[in-house]
Amino acid sequence: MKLKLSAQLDFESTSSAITLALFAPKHSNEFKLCVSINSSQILLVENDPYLKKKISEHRIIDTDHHKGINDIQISCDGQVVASASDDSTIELTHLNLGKLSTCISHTAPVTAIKFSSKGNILFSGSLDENLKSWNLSASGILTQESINNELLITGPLKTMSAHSDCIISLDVPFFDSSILATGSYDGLIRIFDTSNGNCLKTLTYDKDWANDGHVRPIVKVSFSVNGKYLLVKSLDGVVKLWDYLQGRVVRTFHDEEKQLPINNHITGLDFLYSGETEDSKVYVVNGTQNGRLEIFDVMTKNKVVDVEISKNSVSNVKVMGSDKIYCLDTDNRLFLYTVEM
Amino acid sequence: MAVNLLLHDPFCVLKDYPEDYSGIINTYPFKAVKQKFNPTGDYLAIGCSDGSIMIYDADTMKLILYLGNNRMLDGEIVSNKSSFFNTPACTMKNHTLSVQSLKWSSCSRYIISAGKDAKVKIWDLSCKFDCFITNSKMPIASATSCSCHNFEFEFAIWDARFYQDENKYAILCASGSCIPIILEIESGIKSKFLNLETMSYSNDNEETVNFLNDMIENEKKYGNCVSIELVDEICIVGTSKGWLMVYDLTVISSIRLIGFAKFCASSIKNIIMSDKKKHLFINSSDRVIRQCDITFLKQNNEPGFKNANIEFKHKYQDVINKLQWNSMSLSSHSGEFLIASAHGSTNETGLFLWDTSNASLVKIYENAGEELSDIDWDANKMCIVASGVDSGDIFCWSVNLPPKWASLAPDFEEVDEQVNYVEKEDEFDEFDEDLIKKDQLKFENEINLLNLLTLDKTDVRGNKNVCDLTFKIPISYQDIVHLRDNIEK
Repeated sequence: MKLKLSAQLDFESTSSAITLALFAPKHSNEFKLCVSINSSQILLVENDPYLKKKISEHRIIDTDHHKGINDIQISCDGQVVASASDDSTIELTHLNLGKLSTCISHTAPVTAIKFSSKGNILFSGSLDENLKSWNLSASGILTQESINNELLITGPLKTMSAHSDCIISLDVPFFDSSILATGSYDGLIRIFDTSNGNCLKTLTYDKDWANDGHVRPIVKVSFSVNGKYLLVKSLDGVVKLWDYLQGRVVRTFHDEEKQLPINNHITGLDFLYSGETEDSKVYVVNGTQNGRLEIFDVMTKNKVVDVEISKNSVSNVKVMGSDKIYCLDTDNRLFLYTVEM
Repeated sequence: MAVNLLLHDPFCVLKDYPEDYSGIINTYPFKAVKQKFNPTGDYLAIGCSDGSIMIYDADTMKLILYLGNNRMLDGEIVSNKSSFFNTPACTMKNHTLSVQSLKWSSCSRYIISAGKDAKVKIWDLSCKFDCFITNSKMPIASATSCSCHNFEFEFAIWDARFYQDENKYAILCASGSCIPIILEIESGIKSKFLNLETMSYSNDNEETVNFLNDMIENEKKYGNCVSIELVDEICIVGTSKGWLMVYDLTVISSIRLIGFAKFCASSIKNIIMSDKKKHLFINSSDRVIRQCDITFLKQNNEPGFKNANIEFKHKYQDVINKLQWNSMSLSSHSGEFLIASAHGSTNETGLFLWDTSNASLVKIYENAGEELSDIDWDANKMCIVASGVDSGDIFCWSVNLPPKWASLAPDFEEVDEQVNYVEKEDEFDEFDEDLIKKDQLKFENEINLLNLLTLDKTDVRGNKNVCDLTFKIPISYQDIVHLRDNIEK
């Protein structure tokens, strides 16, 4: 397997861009990509999967955030961009209709958001250690009475006290949002039932997890496409694949010779599927803190690609289809790599 | 599909029927008369006494879609929408009288409804939208024209169903005849099941031929068809005079009668056949629900069936009060449990649940405190919903999944009794990092089968997993914006 740099976009920014969102459904040619370029603006790349256009030709979405944006998600129908910010709010912006709503309830920066598979619920995790779910439907449509009660997003549907330290990442399975996984700095991975907010399972790396000195903060959780496995990255850069039903790690992806000193950079991680059938190959694409992009074969655990793409850390990685990898580094550059099998 | 069930206590998840009352769905100001979950249990469609049809999200139990033109908003929104988004304006109007029947198509994209206003409507839930939820393997092209349909009849329509998965035909049960109507949805051609030209007599025995001739000549003798059940290609029709007819629709152009019997002297109100086409439940006005075994004989050379045999098995009735049954519903798969709502019931009664293997009464659901009519049993969420006759609210019973406190820490365990703590030999030994790593490596190497791609075919409860092949109702952002603007004014 080889990686080829196909395009690169450099953009100016006052802070380091760390968020990247991708919308590219399998059965259509639609393509949308969002990058936060400063504390209140989001760059929207529309229908340009090869990144051929210049920055100035793309649309910029203005939000009301006044501190940095931590996470962006595009809704399952590609119409709404949700942004979570350090100012403790989440904003929903419709691409044609403008701003839809602001979700205010978190008391600390919101770090991770995710839409449910039916598109009507938004989940958010925050540094305030809580997990919230927000209903996104026009329930008020029916009568004037109900308008006052349950219009749009006035408050969260549910709040779950989730962890004893900040939540950094969360994910729901693509087809089924009945469960939700969170990764926190307290070193625990938790799985919640989204219908009632109960915790269903707690996973941890460390045998003596309660002992403070040994906690390895979790920075990324990601479900496999069928929702049966959970890919987890801790702050030290070790990537593990959990069979969460059995509560065991079934794969560890880690290059011990290249162990880096731990710093606070959160780096990107994603799955790469070569096809849709059961015997298709599955890879894990991992960005590192020293600017490398690594690809592991999930079956054999072999590292099939290891290239240096940047001098700084690779803050986000998103895979589209079976051959395109979009990555973002902290020097505010967006790369498109194509995979040659 | 629900992955969360895999992580709950299996003894709670695998209950055969819901045990706990879980409250009501308030449909005010509308009165619910019919309610139906979609095949995946994601949405609940509610038909109301004024002809409205609403769709609730089953997770949040909040209204997400109102079909047709909402009179409360004077149709203002609809006109705004079409001008802004250039989507085809849907001109479908609501039923003007109470909804009589409500059914989802297998892909969850269409709903077929019949009303007391003698209209049958087919609703395309995608018709007001041009962007769809993409978490589905079912490709949906943006609609160029509205694919909703409205069919008017001169006589009352009791029930309407989609025939098979392609949603090309609908089977209607209309008064005025004992023979149901088949409707070609695209062209709107309505024809009766049996007319002399299309009937094939070749394989039928003399008895069937005589019966058919008699039925066509003296339709009145057999009453009106009032209930219908459609499982795969088998259609069972019940008439107001207690006759039951079984049709084979394998070849839609030549529908064949494969069984008939007179069950009782009074009208047949509901018919249910279990998914595996083995059991048949017939609710008639004579206050009895009859359970029968049904068997089909295959044709020798041609596709389809030759004969259907119906064998009486059990009777269900309220021995004390002799109540009539309003409606009934069956648990999924082999139909192990039957639930029925009693007519004119008081506070003490409500829904009756029986075990169908031995016809024994298992449970009476009493919480509603009023008479209940229509029942739907959703197998995915293991939830029973029934509409109240007086209040028009929907009462729900579901399985309670208790919180798992032990899951809050990785090594907690819930115990039923006090357990004496015995320290294990190596419990407080220091872990040898290398040894743990080696063990883990060995374990990882032993696993060479990892399926990260394909979904399970069934969920824990044995329901077919079709969540990636069903339609997800888009969110109408225009309504949100419209409402927000209204409030700001």
